[in-house]
Amino acid sequence: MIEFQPVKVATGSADEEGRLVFHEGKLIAVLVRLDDANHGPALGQWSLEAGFNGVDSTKPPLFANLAAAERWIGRQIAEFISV
Amino acid sequence: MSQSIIGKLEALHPLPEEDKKLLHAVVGRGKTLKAGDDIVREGDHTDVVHVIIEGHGFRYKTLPDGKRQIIGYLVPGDFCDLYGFLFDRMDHGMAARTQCRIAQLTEEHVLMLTSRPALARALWWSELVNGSILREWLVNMGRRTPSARVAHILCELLVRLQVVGQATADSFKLELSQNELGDTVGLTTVSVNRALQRLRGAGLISQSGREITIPDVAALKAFADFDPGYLHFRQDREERP
Repeated sequence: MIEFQPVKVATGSADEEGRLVFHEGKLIAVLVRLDDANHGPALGQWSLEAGFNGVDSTKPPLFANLAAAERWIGRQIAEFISV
Repeated sequence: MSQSIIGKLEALHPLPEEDKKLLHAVVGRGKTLKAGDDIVREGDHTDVVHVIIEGHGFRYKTLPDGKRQIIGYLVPGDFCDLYGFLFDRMDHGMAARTQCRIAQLTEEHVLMLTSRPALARALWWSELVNGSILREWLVNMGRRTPSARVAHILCELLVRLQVVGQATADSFKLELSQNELGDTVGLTTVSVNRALQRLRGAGLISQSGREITIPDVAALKAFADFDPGYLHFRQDREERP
């Protein structure tokens, strides 16, 4: 069960609109929408700013919408092998 | 043609006139590579040593999932794979970032060069500095904040390009995309973008297209914690107490 909670994120840029992402009631990721004009073609997409317990990547994809982010996060959780 | 190579080596160790003539003869005109071409592919064997006469490139390693880590920049005058003919397979790849002119030296050429004491020492220096740069990059990636990491890379490029006459006292042309900068310092393109924005916002750099201008070089160096000592250029060695 993945839930989103709106949040403002201090990124030092116009990218403020964020979502806390909860999985089974626990914070698993922080997403931010790229609203700063500097992002060029990536404008409007969602970026993974932080992820926990397997929802991490050194090069995460950008997400066109929250549904796409939810699918990717769901996959990360499913594929996570706890070491 | 050999000017950048002589410039780079002389920045590390003085060369007598005959050594420069020999280098010039050995380097020749070189061959041209297009932007994006591999100089040597990861895993390939090479019989020749590649030296950048003109243009920019980088060293990289590719992960099984396709991610890439850039592990070094190649600028004019740089030896890409000195003694690399000893390896059965290259442990990393080297690619042309822009159109490049590349000299190809055989093992015999390298033996000719290293039989001359000043050239041998210059080449030892250049290999030592390659290792030193890699150590500095490791520290940069592991221990600096995103904006300081990017700033450090910009300071290094400024100094390395100045040595071969490709940068002014405070500006140079950045031949790297934000994605490539990210692959260099282990950050996403989004983080690199914000880091550059912070540097611009603080007045530490200004950008116009590919041109990077550094209004106060000392301020950027201080912010990045940049000490050019690891590049071991003679000018810097001689200025130190």
